[in-house]
Amino acid sequence: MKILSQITPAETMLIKDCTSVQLKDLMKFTFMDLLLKKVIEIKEVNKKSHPRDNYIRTYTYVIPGKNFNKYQPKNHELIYLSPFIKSPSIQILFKNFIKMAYDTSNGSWNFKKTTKSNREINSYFKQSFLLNLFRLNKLTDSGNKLRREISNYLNEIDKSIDHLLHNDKKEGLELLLRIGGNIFLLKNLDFQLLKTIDKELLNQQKVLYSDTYDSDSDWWLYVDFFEDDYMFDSYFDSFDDTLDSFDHEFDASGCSSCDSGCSSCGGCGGCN
Amino acid sequence: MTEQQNEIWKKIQNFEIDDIDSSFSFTDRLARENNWSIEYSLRTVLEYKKFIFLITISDFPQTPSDQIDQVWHLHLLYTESYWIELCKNTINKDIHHGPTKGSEEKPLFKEQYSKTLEFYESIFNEKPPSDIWIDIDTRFNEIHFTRVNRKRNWVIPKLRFKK
Repeated sequence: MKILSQITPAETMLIKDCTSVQLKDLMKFTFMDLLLKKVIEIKEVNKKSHPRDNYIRTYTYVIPGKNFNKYQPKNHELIYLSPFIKSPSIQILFKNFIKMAYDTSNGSWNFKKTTKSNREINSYFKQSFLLNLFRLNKLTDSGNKLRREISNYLNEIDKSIDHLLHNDKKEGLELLLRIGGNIFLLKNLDFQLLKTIDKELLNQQKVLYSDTYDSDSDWWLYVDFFEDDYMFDSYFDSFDDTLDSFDHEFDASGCSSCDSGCSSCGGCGGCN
Repeated sequence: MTEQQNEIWKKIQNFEIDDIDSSFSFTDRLARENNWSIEYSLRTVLEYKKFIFLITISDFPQTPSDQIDQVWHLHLLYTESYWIELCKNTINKDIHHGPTKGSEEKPLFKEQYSKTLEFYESIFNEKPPSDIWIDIDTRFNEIHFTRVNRKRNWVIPKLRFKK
């Protein structure tokens, strides 16, 4: 199914679950897909907050990945990539990064609007003044047909992927490369199994794909992931936790406290 | 950038202004108090660090853009982070903030700002981002800021006619 190699998981989800898909999931899968493609990378640094600090802490940063410069971002991916385009030397604390993306997304309706504006899927959505006014997303007839096809196709892969990765890695890998970042939408994929795909097999696939190069697909970015054994799946949970914490955080209105216990919610604190 | 300057820049770049244990960080506050996006705030913090670096390595005064000045003001409120962690422990230099003494100093600051932009370009080999280091005329014309209680007031932009 060619279109799955050309669209990101967020776009696929928008087609598959047009009305019910959550902003949080669209954001999460976009983030994971960019990590998978190495357009962005996570860097963990153990350091002191300043040279004479007594404690070493672990700071998790997001930085541009090795494929950042050659990657052509889609509209909805810019919520994550725009600071690196404007300020290439910036490194952003993971928590700030997610907060920034949430802030830039401008809410569910706007993020969905940006996502469906991508040229690969735009024609599958109905456009009208009333739909915009009532903030509704509706698929066209061809969109509905595509939705059914995608659901069936992903269900089929879901049923067979575990068996293939155990018994026919070549076929399994081919299948996964064909759907790119949409592997996140598979329910039965064990990400640890992907690490067992050997390098020789990857090289064969690289040669095979290079011969039949498809300029609309980002398959080569995904090969990079399989080659480097890049750990990324652990960030699934961190992403959820970080995003969930925002609702509480933006309520904070007071200044900081210090060890003299002088904080108040509306005034500043002081200490020696 | 010399090797020694590069070392100082790395130290300043590695200096983390946000407390990772805090749920409402420096950047959050900066964004909220200035009505900036988080992205813009994060980028402005990076430019603030560059500005501090320029002061650290130079023997002539530097003038920031208003945006960077706002980061500086807020950082000065985090006294421990500013005086102890940044000035004392990271760059080993006390950097004082000197507000203008009045309109008689305007030409001086204009000249300093212009020199700062040139110095930035020569050190970092790139032009300062124009949305943070705004042009010199706007920098010294658009300075009429007031603290507004948004619970009691609306903020409505003035109509502006294109020249």
